[in-house]
Amino acid sequence: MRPLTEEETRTLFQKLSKYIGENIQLLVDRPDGTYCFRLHKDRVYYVSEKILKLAVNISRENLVSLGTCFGKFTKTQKFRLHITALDYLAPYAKHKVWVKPGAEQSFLYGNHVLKSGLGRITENTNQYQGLVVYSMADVPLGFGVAAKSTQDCRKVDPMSIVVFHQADIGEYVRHEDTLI
Amino acid sequence: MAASGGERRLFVGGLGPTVTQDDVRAQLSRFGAVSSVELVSRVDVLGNPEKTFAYVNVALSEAALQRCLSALNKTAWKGGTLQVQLAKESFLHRLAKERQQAKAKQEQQFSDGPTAGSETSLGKNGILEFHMKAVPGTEVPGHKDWVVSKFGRVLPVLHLRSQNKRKILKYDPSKYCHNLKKFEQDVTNTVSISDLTWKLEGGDDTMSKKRQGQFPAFRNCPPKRAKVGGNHCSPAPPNVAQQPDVQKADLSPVELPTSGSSRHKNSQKPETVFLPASKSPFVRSRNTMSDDDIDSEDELKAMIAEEKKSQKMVFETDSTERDSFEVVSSDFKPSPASSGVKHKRTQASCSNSSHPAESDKEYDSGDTDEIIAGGKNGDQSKNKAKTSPKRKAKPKEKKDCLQNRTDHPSSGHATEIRKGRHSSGNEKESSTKLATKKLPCTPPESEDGSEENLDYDSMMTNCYRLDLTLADLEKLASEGVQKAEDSDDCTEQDLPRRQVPDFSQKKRKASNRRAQCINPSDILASLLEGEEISDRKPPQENMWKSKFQAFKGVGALYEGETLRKPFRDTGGFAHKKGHSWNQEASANSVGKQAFGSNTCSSEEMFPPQDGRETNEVDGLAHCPGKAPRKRQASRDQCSTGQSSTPGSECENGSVSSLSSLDTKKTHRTDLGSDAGMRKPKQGKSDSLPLRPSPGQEPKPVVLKTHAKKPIQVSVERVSAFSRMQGKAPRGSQEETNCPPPQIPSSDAISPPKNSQDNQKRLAALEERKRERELQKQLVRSALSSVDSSLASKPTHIVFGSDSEEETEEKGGSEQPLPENRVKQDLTGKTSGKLFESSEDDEQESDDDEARFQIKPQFEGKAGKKLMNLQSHFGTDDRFRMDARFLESESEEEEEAEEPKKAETNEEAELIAEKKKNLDMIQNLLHIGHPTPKLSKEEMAAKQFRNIVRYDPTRLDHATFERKTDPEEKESKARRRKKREEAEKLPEVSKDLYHSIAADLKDRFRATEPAPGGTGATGPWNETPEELETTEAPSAGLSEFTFSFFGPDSNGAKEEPYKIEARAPGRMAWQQDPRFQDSSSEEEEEEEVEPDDGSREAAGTGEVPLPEKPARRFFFFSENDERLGVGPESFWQGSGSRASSEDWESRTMVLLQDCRKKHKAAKRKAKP
Repeated sequence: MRPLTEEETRTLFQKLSKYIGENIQLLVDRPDGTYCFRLHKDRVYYVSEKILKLAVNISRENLVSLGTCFGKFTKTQKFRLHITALDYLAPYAKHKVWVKPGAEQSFLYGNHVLKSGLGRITENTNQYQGLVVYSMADVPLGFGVAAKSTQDCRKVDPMSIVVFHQADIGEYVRHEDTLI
Repeated sequence: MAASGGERRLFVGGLGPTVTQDDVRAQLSRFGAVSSVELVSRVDVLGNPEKTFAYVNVALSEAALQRCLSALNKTAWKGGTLQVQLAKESFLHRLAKERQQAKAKQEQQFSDGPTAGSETSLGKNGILEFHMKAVPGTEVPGHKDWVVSKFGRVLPVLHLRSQNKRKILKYDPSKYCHNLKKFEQDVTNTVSISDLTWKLEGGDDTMSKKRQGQFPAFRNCPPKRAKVGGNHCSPAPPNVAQQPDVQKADLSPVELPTSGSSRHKNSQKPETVFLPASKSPFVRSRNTMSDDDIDSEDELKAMIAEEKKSQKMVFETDSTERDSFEVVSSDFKPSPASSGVKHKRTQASCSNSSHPAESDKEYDSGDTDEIIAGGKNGDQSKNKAKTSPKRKAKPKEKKDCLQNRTDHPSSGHATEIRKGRHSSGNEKESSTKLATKKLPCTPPESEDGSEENLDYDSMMTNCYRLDLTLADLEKLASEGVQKAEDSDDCTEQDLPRRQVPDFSQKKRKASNRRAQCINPSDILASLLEGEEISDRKPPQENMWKSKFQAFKGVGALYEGETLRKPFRDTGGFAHKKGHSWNQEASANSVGKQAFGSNTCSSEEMFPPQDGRETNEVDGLAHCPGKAPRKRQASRDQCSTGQSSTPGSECENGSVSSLSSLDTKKTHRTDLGSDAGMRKPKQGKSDSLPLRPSPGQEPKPVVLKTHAKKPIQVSVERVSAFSRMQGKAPRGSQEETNCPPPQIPSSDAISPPKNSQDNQKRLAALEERKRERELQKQLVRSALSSVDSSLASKPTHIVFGSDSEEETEEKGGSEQPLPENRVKQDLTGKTSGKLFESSEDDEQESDDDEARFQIKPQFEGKAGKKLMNLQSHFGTDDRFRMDARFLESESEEEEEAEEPKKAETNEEAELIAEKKKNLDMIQNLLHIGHPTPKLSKEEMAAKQFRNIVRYDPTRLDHATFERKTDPEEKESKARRRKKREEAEKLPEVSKDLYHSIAADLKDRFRATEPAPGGTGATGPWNETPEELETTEAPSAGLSEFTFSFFGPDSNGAKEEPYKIEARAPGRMAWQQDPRFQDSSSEEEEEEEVEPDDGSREAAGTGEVPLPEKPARRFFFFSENDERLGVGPESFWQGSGSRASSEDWESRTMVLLQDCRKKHKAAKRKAKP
């Protein structure tokens, strides 16, 4: 467990900023306490100071997880967000997509969101913009990347992909072992 | 196709390029007479001959042909190898032949006749034996599945496989195509237009009305509306389930409006015609209205705005394409509340149109719940009939449950009643069934009752609400009177079937009573009675509570009537069978006693008996107004049995209700008196036959036991009895109804136990009451202390909201010193300023008070700093240090303090990390400093500094002037220069010309001896234009001026002018001016001189006039008067004018010509 290096921090923030924009500041600078990012076994954890202090006492091998796992650094040193980060992405999300009830399940099984399943979308969403996917009842289901901009979404045929799937809460079940 | 001995067409190929027709002709003529040779030579792109061949028409016999072919074929001739073949017929020949044939055929056809021709043509096309006159539908012979249709068209018969079935349909087009029949107009049977319209006969129902074109008032259809509200996610009813926040009460109307309500009503009250169909919507309307009332306009506005927005969206999307999804702004926030509101709205829209607006919240919610409950009960009641009577009440949603249960019996009974009716044959069975079925319904109520106790206060309010609803009831009742009568008839019809004639009379009375009940006052009375009973009973039994909700009043009324009937029926059965059931009845009585003693098991012990008991009790309580209530009472009795364990709770409730009850009783007794009066009468008639069955009494007995006692004996449970006093009279009435001998029998067993239990209960109640009061007092005292403290606080507040903070700050005695200091500082400063600046004096005198207040921004440490900062500046607004500056300061402070706080290294590290992260984020996102305000301020300040008012009068401000001006000037100068240049060009030419002129002068001077001659001759040769231009200056200089000013000018002087004037003489021989120009002047002169050799002599003389006129006679006659007049004659004469005009016109023409030429030249030059 160690703090992120400059490069790692940059990549992490770059990734996060795709979803929550400048709201990262709110994650870093929290009024309710000091929170920080920690790297442990290639995974980035968002930890409160208190938990961090407690976790220091646990040896590296034995420490499985601490705080909230935001994602992991791949071997190519790219950052991949995990579904566990959804709790922090959803409230600060800049761009959102609401999925129709019928398409919810499909999304939760790891499929992309088609236009036919698109219930609502934030305006001015650009292509390849990070999106948080909600159900129509405003339950965050996961996140992804806009395959089409909002304007394009209007034109495309119903079976075309609108949001690329990245993570969904179904992974809690499907990737139970790898999530941690 | 040539004739055997005739001409043949031969192809001769492989000819050399040099071969000519004659060669070919000569070559072939050996074999036969060549009529024509057609030589064809093909040439490639470059013109090189590729091959040459010829078609030759030769008259050849067969033998000759063979000879020819063998002789010539493949022989080299003239640079080529011959190739001779018989050629194909020339196309022209063929064409001609065909035409000839066609002509011949035509002629033939004409001779045969047209039909034969067409037939032959058809025959040629393969349609043989075809008859044009074949009837449509006949098959084409020889072709299966082809049919002749009208106009002789042949159409295929189609075999179509129907979609679902395997059957194959045969589609004969002849039956469908071109099969129009012309209808002949039948003038005889004309029908007037008025007859063409007819009226649909039908009832009053909505469908028939619609058929007649009477549509109900337009209602906005709810789903659409909901859809329009783009904001909330689940507009359609089916989605409602997704909205967790939506209450059930909201839910139900959506489900109900159409089928649900009617179904429930039907199931609940199958026999009630009395119940208007519009009840549920009626109720709903209230519900929605009440909701809307709360929602207020703001929300509505918001919703409208949202709707508009969404519509807008829709439009936008529509413009491009219909989109299934919606696009929301980035600040979109889903609001379940709003969606809920919308929901309500839709309901409102449904109901508003039809129903008047009324508001009774609880009532409505209750009703909606009731409806839900009805829905549930519809299912449950069936189940209940089989399931065990035990049903546990759900502690939550008290009201819902309550209403559920109150409905339960009704629905349950309804079903039972139905059954009862159907099974009119075996009444006994049915009655027993009823008994058993009723049981399950009752227990839940009892539980409700127990719960209800807790909410007794709310119930009290409900009771008042009853009065409100009565207004509605009156309306309903007035409408329902007729229906009621109908229902009465129905009941009369129904009842006789099942009941013994004895009861029919009773029914009649009951129906009458019902009819009376319809009068609002009666309804009120009966209702109040019902309540009375319900209210009274709880105290008596200490468990039983009225669960009459306000809304229930309506429902109960109707239910009561509906229920009355069945009960009467059942009662009737009970009475009929009563005697035979004596043993059972006795058992019942025992059961009842058990109830009285509040054993929990009573209900479980004797379910069947209970049921019967209730029936019997109802039967007993035939007085219609009371019947339902009594039934409920009996139910409640059961409930007491059930709820005896939680009895303590009930007691609590009852205790709380004590005080309110008394007041109510009085009302009720008054109101109910008339109804009560009626009751006894009917009751007597009814009850008398019922008495025989002893088991009926148990409940009344219990009542009486209590009721009597309070009147006669004043025991220690005064409170309880005081409650019962209202009841007592009624009890007595009942007593009067009931023959005394029976009462004792039941009384004998029950009083002792009951009394003991009651005593205990009452004691417990009193204890509870005391505890409550104690608690209340405690709470009150606590509250009062709080209140007092609260009250005391505001008294200190003197100033506005600012001062509040101040006082609070003062109260928190942590920073009194700094504040004081601040105050002092402030005052000192202000005062100082007061004296310093005379300007501020006036202002400050105005707001002295404000000045001496401590401003919030000066509080605390930061405030002090701010103060210090401010002290550096004057009081000028611009320099006033605001909270903005404070912010920046405080931030700095914080930043400074934070590291201090971070004592441990870890924290410091963390903070450092945080800072680093933040910096990185800023870098990443290109966000400015987190405190943009400050930066803005700075920017503003900088800008302000930079801004200088430009004073053009000041020299140093010249620096602010833009430098673009000199450039412009330069450009202007350039332009000017250009212009000048442009203008100069002609000038330059003039100059040149002048110089030339000067030369000319010199020359003239040189040839001075004969100036006139030169002057005359020069111009003559020269072009008129040049003449003028040249002459004008020269003449002006030398002679012309003279001529003008000398009135009697010499002929010599006039000469040049004259010559000049006449010079324009357009002689045909005049040369091209350019040519003239190009010629050197010297030559000219040389030429001139010899020409004018003779003239020169005269010219040189210059003086001799006679010569000149002689010479000029062409123009001037001798002694021409014009000469006498001098130049004036022509100077302003018409002739000169004409000439000038002519000149002008000519110049114009010339100019145009020139321009044209110029343009043309340009055009030519351009491409």
